This record gives sequence, structure tokens and C-alpha cells, in this order.
Amino acid sequence: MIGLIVVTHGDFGRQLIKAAQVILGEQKEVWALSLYEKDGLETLRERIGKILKEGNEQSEGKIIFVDMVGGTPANASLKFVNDKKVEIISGVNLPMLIAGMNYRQSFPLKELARLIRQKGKESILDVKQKFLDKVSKVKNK
Amino acid sequence: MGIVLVRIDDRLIHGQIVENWMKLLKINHLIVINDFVASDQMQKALFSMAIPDHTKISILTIAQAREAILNGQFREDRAMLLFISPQDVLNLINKGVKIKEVNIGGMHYSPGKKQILRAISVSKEDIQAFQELDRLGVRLEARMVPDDEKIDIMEIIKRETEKE
Repeated sequence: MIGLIVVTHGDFGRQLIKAAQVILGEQKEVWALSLYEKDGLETLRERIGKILKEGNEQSEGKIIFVDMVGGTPANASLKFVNDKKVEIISGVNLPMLIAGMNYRQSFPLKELARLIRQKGKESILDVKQKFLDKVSKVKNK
Repeated sequence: MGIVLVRIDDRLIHGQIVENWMKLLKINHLIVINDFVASDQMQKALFSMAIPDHTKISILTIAQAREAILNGQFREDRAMLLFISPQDVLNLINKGVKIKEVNIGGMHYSPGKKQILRAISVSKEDIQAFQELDRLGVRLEARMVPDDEKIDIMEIIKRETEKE
């Protein structure tokens, strides 16, 4: 199974995983790493490296989700940029994490990463506009 | 294939339905059955927004649902029936529709109800409806998401009613 690691500023990632589990139920092979004020770049790199080593031989790879490009979680992840079994995706949100959990047994690593990025982009909508469009559609039926 | 799952969930269509149950059971037609929701344009729009683009959705009154099911309209689909309450399920069965098993996913707390499971609270009327469904031989399993343990809701109700 492809592993999912969510690396963020503060507890955002931990709580995001909890939110996804409310919807999908308990999940295996999921890790959260939180960056606090006391933590440096090197500590975070080490913690990511440790998780990547877990079951690395038979593992189908891992996806590192980070909150934003330029932040320490993203910078720390870049240490693993040459690892072919690792994909790194920024801007993590709930639909992206859910897509990762839902499809990680259906797609190989690179395709899963592409699907997650696509789901993330599709999840940002003008909700008022979309709703009003639907209302007018329902009324015209 | 026809009707794959019958569920009571008073939030009707939400994350657990769209991202979990529908994907697992490959549902392609969601059918919400409730007389009030069927006449509410806002709710209809809201639900049609909540589902994936390729999925069909029907929001029907109990009478409309009876017609559609008895006419075999969902025979080619993998359909999921969604109800707000056990009373609505009972009502549909009493109108001649056969239902063997009902999944109870969420019935939320409001004053006057009693919480019997993490996501299930029931009123006296709910309990009566469940008892009647049980008498008619309908299997009633409480389960929020597919990976949760299946719980026989009648055992919980028996325990609760014996306490009183």
C-alpha cells in the first residue's frame, strides 16, 4: 500500500487526518508530522527520513503532503527529491487526502500523485455560484 | 443489480456517503426518499451539488418511490436508497415495497431523543418504527462507515427499553 505522510506547520496535518478518518474510517499507513516553534529544519528532515524507511523494501512508495511551498515542511521534504519512491505534493486539503486514501490501492505512485493534484484543484470552487447554477437547473426541469 | 443499499441517515448526502459508501459499493444512482425534501428546491440543489458529476440523483416522495421501485425503474442501476427516519422506511414497506435489510448510519440528537450509539439517537416513535420493522423481518444494522463494526440495533433497543 502506498503510504501517506502529511507534514505541516502545527497540528493541521494531524487534525486533517482525523477529519478524513471521520469520513473513511480508520486508515493504515498514514503519518502526520507537526512542525512546532522549537523544531528546526534538520529535526523535521530526520523525522521524515525515519518514516520513509518504514517498510521501504516492499513498499510501493510514499506520498508526502505539505501545506505550502516555501515553508519548512516543504523545504524539509525536498531532501528526498531524488527518491523515486517518493512524491511530494503541496497545498494539502481534505479532498486531496481523501483521494489519496481512496485510490492508493488502485493506482501506482506517480498516477496517484497526479490524481491527487487534480482533485485538489477541482476542490476549489465558487460555492455560491455553483449552488445558484444548480438551483436554476432544478427549477428549469 | 437494482438496490444495493438502503440506509437511514438524517444528514442524507454527505462525505461518508459520497467518498466512502458510494465508492465501495460502486453506487451510480442515489435516491433520497422523503416527502418534505422532495418538495424543497433548495435541498434538491444542495444535494445535486454534493454528488460526483457522473452520478444520478433522484429525490422522491414516498409515493413516487413506491411507483418507481415497483415498476423496476432502478433495475439497471446500482442504487442506494437514503431515508431520514425509520418511519419513512416502514411507510414504504407498508405500501408494498420489499426491503430485507437496512443500514442505520446516523440519526442525530435533538431534545426528547435518547442517544443509544455514538451517531444514533432515537425518539419513542423511532423505537416503535424499528420494533415494527424488526417484526416484519427486516434486518437492522447500525454502521456509520463500512469499516465500522456491524451492530444489531434491536439488541441495543431491547437493552434500553428493559432499563426503563
